[in-house]
Amino acid sequence: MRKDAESNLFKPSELVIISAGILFLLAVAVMWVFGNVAVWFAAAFLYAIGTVMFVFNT
Amino acid sequence: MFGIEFTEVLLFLMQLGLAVSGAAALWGLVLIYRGANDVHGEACIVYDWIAEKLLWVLYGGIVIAGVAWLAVSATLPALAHVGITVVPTHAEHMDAFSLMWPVFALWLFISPIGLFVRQFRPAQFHRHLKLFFSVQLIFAALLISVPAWSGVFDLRQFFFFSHSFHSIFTLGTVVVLDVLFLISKSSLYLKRHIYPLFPLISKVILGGLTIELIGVFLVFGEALALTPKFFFMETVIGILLINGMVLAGPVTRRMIVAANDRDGVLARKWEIVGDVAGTISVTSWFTITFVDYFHHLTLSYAGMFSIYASVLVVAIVVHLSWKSLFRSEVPDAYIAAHANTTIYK
Repeated sequence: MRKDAESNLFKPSELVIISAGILFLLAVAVMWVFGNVAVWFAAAFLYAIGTVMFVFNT
Repeated sequence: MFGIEFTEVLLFLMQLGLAVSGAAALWGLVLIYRGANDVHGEACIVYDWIAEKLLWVLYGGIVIAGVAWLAVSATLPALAHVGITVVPTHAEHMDAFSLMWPVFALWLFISPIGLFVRQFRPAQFHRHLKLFFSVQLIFAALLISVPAWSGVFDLRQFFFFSHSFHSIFTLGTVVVLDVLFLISKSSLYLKRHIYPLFPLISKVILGGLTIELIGVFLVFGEALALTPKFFFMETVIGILLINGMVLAGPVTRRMIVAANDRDGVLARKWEIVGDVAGTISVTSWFTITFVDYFHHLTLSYAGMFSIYASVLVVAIVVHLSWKSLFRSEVPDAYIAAHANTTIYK
């Protein structure tokens, strides 16, 4: 357990949710400049996938 | 100021108080159940001790919600005079207030009785602690579920429910998490019992955000308006997700290993990361819930972000100062004394 805890910085589910967070930030810029919400939808979708992975894999 | 109305401040405080008391009741119940799985071991006593500490968080929430509710009661007649000039959200808030006031009044009436029994009959109170937390959770969940009443059970009403109820799982749970974290700082025993709960708490927080997003999708056309306030809130959501995974992932795993294998002390770098990430989490959830209640904010995106960043810096300084001030160990005798006055009496 110690090796797992101290060697791997992030698990896949955590990386997916972090990616969703970055997409949310990107979505703000896209919505502001272009008024398009597609990236926001993508971020929400990625968040849903990440959450399911996080709940069942950690 | 900045388009903020006094009634909105009161409604926010009601939401905050209900979220905190609901979350304290929820996690108090979880701790009691965890303790019950190890009835004759130390786990029972320690979980029990922690659960009782959450009573103060619960009553703190009740006081905040109760004072705000009484203040809204005082302004209700004035609002009613405004009639049709009141914006719909206000009217719906007030309809919900009229609908739920008997439940709220009953909640405020019975809650002090629990405190009274705890003071004069601690053993009896302890025997019914599970029931007490359950009743508190039901009241808080019921009251927070109807922040506004549209008159019918439609998608709009479901949005009101999801938009408010998730605060027990998000804002309230983050506050409880921070309290548990601060309590655990004083004892290795407590760390070994509290830290393993953190992954479960993280799942509940993510679940809370999911409930909110489901509500938004159901009324997407009405809910989504590309305003500076919306951009600001989505920015904070992005920060929350990135920060949350740092906290729930590597930091939590290292904390659990340190508590189980060593003396519970993290490497200095990870300790600072944990403290800062924890403070960002509670400040950000607080900010989102706060900003959400003000429909006529005149602040620009830069203005909102500057205030958020300033509050964040202050919160981090306060958190680190608190930690350095309250470093004293919780003697095992405290937990033993608690067991003698409640469990074994």
